[in-house]
Amino acid sequence: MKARFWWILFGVILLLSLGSLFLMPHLAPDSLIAEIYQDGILIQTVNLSTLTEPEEIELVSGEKENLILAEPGQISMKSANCPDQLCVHQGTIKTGLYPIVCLPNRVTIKLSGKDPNQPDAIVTKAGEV
Amino acid sequence: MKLKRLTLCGVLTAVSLAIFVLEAQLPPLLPVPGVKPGLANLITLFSLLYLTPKETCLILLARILLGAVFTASPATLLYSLTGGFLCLGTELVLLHILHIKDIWAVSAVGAMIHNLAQLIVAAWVTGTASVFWYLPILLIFGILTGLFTGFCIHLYQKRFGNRTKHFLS
Repeated sequence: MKARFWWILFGVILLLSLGSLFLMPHLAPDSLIAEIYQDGILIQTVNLSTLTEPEEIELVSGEKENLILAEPGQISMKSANCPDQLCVHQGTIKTGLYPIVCLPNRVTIKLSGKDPNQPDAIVTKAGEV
Repeated sequence: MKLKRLTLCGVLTAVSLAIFVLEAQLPPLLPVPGVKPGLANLITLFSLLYLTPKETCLILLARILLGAVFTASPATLLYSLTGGFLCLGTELVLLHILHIKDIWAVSAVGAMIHNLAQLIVAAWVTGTASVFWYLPILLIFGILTGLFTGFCIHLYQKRFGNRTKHFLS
């Protein structure tokens, strides 16, 4: 067969692969999982990508009260009875870049693309995989 | 002449095993499982050109089994076996259809099949279809490494092909 045929075939596959590699992050955003921690302990996880309507989550622990608003694709601290209200003013977060932290009440909301119930990596020996 | 072939098979197995074990020691090129030079494929291609399919299969089988022992990773045996033999099968069929001078293309296609097969096994074993996100990067590296090994064999064939055939006859 003509060499040109192969070059075109490989070129097309390379281009398609490269293209999808660049498009992938836009096409399929990772499933967005919100992890809510109190006192460093994982209290609850909410999958924001499968959420269809807003959901309020109340965290009450002794005197500390936090109301979290989970919406499709984003999450925010709706209210907190902490003195500084920094977490409420931070507004909504959509990426895992900055977590919402309510220091006085020791509540943290983190976003990650990975479901903690799923393996986040499949580790294999540096052999043949 | 039987002894000559047997010896060559043994040497080829040893060489491919050495390449395989050495490769396993290298730090991964990318944080993606499966991206590696795949130089052991050189030996498979060589035996495809100059030995019988049966001998090629035996060399590959010996390399994979011993490779799992030497790299102490029996868990990857399933990946190696499916990838290795599907790749070999593809190359065998393609070499039947195509001319020997297309060996470089055969090698690239084989490498892609190899990666694809391992990805399917990975999806099956882990039960997650999301491993297919690795497909583009694995295809790219499959083509590149496949072309590299393919051209190595192509150059060898051009330069030493007749001498090798003469040696074996």
